[in-house]
Amino acid sequence: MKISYLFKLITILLVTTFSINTAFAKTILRTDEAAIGEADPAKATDYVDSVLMFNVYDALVDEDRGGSGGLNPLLASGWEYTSPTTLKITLKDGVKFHSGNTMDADDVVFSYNRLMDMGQGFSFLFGSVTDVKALDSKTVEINTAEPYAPLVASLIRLAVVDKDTIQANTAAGEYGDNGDYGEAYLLTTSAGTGAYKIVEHDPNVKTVLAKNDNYFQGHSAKSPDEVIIKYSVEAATIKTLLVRNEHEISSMWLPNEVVAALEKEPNVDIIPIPRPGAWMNKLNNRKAPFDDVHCRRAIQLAYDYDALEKSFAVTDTLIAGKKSSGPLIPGLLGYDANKPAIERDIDKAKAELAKCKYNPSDYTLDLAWIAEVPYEEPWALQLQANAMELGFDATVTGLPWAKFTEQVASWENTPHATVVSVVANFPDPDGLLYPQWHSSTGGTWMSAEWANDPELDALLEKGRAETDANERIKIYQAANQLIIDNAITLFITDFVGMQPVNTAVSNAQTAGTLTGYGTMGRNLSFRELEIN
Amino acid sequence: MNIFKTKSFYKFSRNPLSVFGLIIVVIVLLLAIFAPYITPFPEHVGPFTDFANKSKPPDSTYIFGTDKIGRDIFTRCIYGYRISLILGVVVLSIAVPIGVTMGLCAGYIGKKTELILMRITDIFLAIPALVLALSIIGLLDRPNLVYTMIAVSMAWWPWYTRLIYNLTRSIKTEGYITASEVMGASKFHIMFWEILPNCLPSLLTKITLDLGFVILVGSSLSFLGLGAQPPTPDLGTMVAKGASMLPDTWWFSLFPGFAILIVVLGFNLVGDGLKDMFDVDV
Repeated sequence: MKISYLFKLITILLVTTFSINTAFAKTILRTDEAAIGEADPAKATDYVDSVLMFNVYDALVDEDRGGSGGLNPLLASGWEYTSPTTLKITLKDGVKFHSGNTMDADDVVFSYNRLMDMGQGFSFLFGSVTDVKALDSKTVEINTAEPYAPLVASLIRLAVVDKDTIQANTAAGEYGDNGDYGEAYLLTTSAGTGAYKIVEHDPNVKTVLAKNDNYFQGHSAKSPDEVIIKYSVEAATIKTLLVRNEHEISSMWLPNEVVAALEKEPNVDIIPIPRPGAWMNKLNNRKAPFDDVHCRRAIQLAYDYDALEKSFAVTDTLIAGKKSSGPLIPGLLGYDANKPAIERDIDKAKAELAKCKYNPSDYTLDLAWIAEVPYEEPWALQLQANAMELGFDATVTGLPWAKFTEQVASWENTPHATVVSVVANFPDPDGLLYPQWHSSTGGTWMSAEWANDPELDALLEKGRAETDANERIKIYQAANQLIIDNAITLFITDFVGMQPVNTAVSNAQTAGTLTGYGTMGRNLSFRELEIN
Repeated sequence: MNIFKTKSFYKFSRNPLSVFGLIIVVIVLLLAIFAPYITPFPEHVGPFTDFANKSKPPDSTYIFGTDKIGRDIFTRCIYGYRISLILGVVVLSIAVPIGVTMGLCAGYIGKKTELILMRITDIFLAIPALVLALSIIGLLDRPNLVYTMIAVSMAWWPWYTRLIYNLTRSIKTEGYITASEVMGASKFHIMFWEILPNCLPSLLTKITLDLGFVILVGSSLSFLGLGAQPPTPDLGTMVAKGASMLPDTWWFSLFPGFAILIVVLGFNLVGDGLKDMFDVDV
């Protein structure tokens, strides 16, 4: 009898323990990206920075899910133009920061001032804004010097930070009364309203995010409780982890050979992610010989686009791109599906080279690709082959991302050409074109061309000021053509990322989220993903 | 004197491993010299892409498969031998004369010369060759093959200084050296015409052994991206490029890695054979 009771007791204990464990088990999503991860939204510029920004912070507006490029209110409840240069925004009630503080208009004004005073990250988007003021605790007014068509869309990049928390954690710094503006504090923690909060952050190693249970929009039913983002992990390691169910979502930067191998694995799905962006070879327009338009045109006409097209095939069925017809791509205002792709013409290339003031044999071109993105290397090697065909000498170097972003700060150190992918900063052609090719934006990874074309500047400024959609289409199509005609950039392919996803999180909801947003980094929205 | 009829060569020829090593070295040398005639796709060595044939596993056309831009790995391995051998020969051509001269001076002249030269040598010897080479390349401009050669040479000469210094110290007490001094021979004559020839067996053995090591260090530097730059075929670089894609595209790394193994093994076996043949300790 006693043995029977003991057996029953043990069984009950085991079942209870298992049930409690199951009920309270934390769901974890593990992913990876190229270092470095910038946690401060005022300093965010690239893909992983954007992923952190969109998951930890909220902006006034958000992109419409589904890739239409439309906008929805997020922290705002609505907006209206009271004049062509004045935008009035009303805020939602009861939105709380991670600290428990309530978000209000003062936080929006502080966030704007912080971004602009620090002058980093996406501050360049708000150059035409003259002031942002709180009319009352729920109303913000934004004034611009002139009509600024993409103003509402660009607000997607104004992450709202918790003023009180930051001011309570301000150290001495270079911003007068604002000290360091909480720069040191936000290096490793968060002060947003977002769906996740940072619990651990080392920009070169990993970030750990925990679910914000009080998030005002809520989470999908099966969203992860914790997210771990590891930085710059070897492709072979990521593959092994994915196959062993120890990693859920890989970055989109794996070599094609690894993606092809993963496609054969039963527990890994490859999700193609077409997004409004492109892979390109950014020519340094200020460095000889590419400060001469004829040399740029020569290399543009010599680049073998047919060969490149063959490189896009990961497998027979997975094709990561197509020939490009310029910077305007599907999903962006002004994209023309009938515009012919850029083609190679070696005779014309040689004719252009003859007009160039430089002798190609005097130059060794410094061609770079991003070391964390191995599948860029073949495109750099292809350019090397075509440059040598024209008589240039050329070296090909894999530059670590951090080193590249440091080098592009001066045009003298920026390589002659660098393979980079750029996706729209917000769903508007201005968000893609202006930060890359306006002469005022040189010195960032997006503007490694150091473009200096007055005609293009004028078009991009006109596109910002124009509010009529049809007129904007004409302006951006003209800008598109000018960028090609003056060979400011060599376009490789429209962006199609291949994202390996473990079947533990591969479902319609996850795929819909990963493919549902065009803005850089917006699509990896952890609260919208579901763990099976 | 016919070297093939000497007792020493007989000793060498009776060592199957040494003969095997010699065969490997001769084959590698022939492959490297006649690469344009042996390889099926010599154009794959220069700036070339063929994305239609990228990442192909070994087959009858591409016996070692192709890399991620469609280049024949067999062709590039054979040409890679050229780079490796050139690296080895150039490095030792720089390191050996410097090391030997310093070793002779330190060992024969003695006193302050010995003190200064050997302490400098000790400083260099205190740093591992690979680490020293890495540091030197770091100080130079963008990495390339020439810088690799300079860096490895700078790391290699102290070993020859130490070897020749020890030999010189031993040889200079011999009677024929004293006889030369009494006859008024110059220091230069004694060092280079009396002492050096007696160091040759040890020197040749070390050079042979070092060829393999230099190739290995050069390949290590290339693996780290500090060697020959694309599109130049370099065995270390080829191994590195394929490493991130193991084990799926195993042929990217395996064949270049095997090629390094073969050439290093060959030189080491020959070096060991020479050591036994000359009965020297290096």
